[in-house]
Amino acid sequence: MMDHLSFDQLCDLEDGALDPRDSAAARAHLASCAACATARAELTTLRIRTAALPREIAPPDDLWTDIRGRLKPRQFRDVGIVRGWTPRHLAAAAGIIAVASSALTAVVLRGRGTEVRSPAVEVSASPQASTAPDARAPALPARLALAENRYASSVVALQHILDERSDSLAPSTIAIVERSLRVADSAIAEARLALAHDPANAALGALFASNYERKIDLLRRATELAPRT
Amino acid sequence: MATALPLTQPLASVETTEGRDSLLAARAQRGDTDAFEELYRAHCGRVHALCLRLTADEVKARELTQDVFVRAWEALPQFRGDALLTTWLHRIAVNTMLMHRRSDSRRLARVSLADDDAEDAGASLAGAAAPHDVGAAIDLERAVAALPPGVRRAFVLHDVEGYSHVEIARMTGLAAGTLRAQLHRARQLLIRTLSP
Repeated sequence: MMDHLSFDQLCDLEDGALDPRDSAAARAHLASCAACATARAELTTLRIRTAALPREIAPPDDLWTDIRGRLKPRQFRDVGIVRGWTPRHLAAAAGIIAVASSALTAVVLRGRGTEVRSPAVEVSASPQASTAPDARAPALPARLALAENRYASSVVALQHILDERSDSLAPSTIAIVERSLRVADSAIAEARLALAHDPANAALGALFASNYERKIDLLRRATELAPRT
Repeated sequence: MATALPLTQPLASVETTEGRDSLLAARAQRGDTDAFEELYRAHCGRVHALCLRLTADEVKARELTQDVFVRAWEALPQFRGDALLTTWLHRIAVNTMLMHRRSDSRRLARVSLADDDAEDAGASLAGAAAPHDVGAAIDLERAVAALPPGVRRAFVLHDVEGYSHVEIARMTGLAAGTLRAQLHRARQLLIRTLSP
């Protein structure tokens, strides 16, 4: 039988820091040594108690007032000195924001089958017109333009599908979709404008991407609500 | 002062904490202190908990939490968004705490493991004053607060906050072996203190 395990060995075992061979030997020893098993149990208990500590402890209520008084006004030139923003970052940022279009879904589902459907109403008169950046808008750097083109391609494809299926949607549904798309387009345009002035700003990139994601999500949900005709 | 960028995406439409943080950070980068206050409200509890555990002193924790958010405001224009905001804030908190220590030579002398050992010799963990009350976990919080500074830092960063030895070594400039020894020492002292 091996000597008692040292406290360091027990800690390493608890942390999974022992190699497989040493770990197996330590476990075999624990099975036959009450003293070491007790020491190991104490470590495990400590770990469990530590994990149960509160993650948050509220600071004094008046702390924000002190902090607010120390914040220097932001100079515009301070913003956007970050470098290295890439389409991959943009795509990753897009993934972290989920847009809540459940309200639209709920409205449509509630009204489904009870509304008069009109083939005269189009969801979008010209997909490209509402997707392509305004020609007067400042140009984005090539890497951001590339990312935007990828989003725009998705938008065009979804709008094409939606246009084809628009006859199966109720007018009220189409109105909601149109209104939501206008909001999304406006959001994209504003974020795009800010990004054009400050192309290295990662947070603006995330905002820009999230607005495109919002539009794509809206279109995707709308196409799912419109069955193939 | 720069005008805050108008946000076109309503915050209510953002479902994830990360998405909400990104939008608020974007506004705060443009100088919007209301957005920064929202970020503060969302993260101050975690930051303050870290500061309180690292300093074991309510007054110092208040100063440290304040400094963390002031530094965060100043550093926000450089925030790339490729790490979670909460992770970024934690790093600022740890760095700020370390800077506080480095600027205080008297306290700096207490950081080393050797001095921790000397301090341990005469220290009575059970007799130490508790800086705060966190309800059911008060015994453990008391014991952690009473640890010598170096081993407390290792325990808080590794066992409470989940940083790896390598990450802590990078932040503190200490060798991984030293940190491991401090961590094990912390656990040993805590078990001793908490044993009935």
